[in-house]
Amino acid sequence: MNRPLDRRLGWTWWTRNGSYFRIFLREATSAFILAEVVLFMLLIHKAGQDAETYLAYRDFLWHPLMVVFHLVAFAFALWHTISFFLIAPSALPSQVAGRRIPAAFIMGQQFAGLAAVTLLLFLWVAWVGAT
Amino acid sequence: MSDTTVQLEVFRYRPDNGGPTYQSYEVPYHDDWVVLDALNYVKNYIDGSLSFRWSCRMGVCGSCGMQVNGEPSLTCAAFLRDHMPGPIRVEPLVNFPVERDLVVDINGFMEKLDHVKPYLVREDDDGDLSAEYVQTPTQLDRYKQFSMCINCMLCYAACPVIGRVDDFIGPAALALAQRYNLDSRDQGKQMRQDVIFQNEGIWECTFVGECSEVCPKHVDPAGAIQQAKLEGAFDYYKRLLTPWARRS
Ligand code: SF4
Ligand code: FES
Repeated sequence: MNRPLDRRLGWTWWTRNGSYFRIFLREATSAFILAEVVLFMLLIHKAGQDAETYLAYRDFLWHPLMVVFHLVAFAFALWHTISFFLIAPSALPSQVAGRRIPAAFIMGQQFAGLAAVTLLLFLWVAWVGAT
Repeated sequence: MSDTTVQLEVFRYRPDNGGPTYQSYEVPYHDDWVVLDALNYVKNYIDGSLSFRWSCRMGVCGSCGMQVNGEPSLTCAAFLRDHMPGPIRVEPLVNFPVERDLVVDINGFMEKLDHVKPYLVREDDDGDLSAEYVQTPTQLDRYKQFSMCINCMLCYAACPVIGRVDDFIGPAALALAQRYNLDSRDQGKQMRQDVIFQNEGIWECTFVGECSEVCPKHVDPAGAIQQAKLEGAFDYYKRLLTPWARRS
């Protein structure tokens, strides 16, 4: 009798080749982003307590190992963001009101938006620092 | 006849004959030969028992899909020269049950295609076969890319979700659903949405994107699925915010 052979990729699919592994890593970057969000929320929480607690926590964030962690998280966040921007055009309808939207335009808009928000944040932080 | 040869490592499976094995064949190398030519050489001159599917030999019928050195490929479009010096490993498409050698069972795929009603559905269809439904080039342009699919199933072999979730409708069928949903002549969108919005439909996709990478016809099924997700989310909020509006 016929016994068809099972050849499904299964749970270890991401170990099969480089491009699967990159996708897996890209998804895993969200863990770093989550960690940074938690660290930031803790910072806000400590800011509501006495100065000593706050300063101790701030020193902890500035510990060389933590700085390395922040840099890795930042690199991952950038990678995730850029790869997201690059695939966004295919996820959007190809036409708006009967006109084709060039992929480069959609990508450009996102990068411009990111640059604008970053600039505004920098200005705001600089303004808060100056006053 | 050329004086160079290339080694093919071919996956063999005969269900009545134990587990799968790899068998090596030495075939002539020609610059303009594709993997399918080499397989046909094996079948005609070395080992007539080797089973595989093919038909058009020109990237149209979609029946010659196999793993070539681990990549889902149309063997009639995979040149030997791109895989030299070899050996070239030829296996059946992954994620599908193997019937024999390089032949996979496509019944599951055919059922999934059937689920999404891949044809024009008309509510006002009164059986008049001479009715004309006019379409402008702009309307055609909305779905044309998604209509280029040749059902070769390479995208199913590339999709890790298919490899884990048996019932996932999968890239080609979901792209085809989107193709008909975007067609100005079609009226079956609601019927299709009921299928593609269920658990095994679009939401199972995590946008790995490999399906679009391997697609020989540049259908971009991953894009089609994300577009359907966006539309689905939009419709949901529209219904939530305007409960008095009729479900269209
Ligand atoms: S979407 Fe592309 S890869 Fe998938 S079956 Fe159609 S033609 Fe083949
Ligand atoms: S033989 Fe028809 S697509 Fe390859």
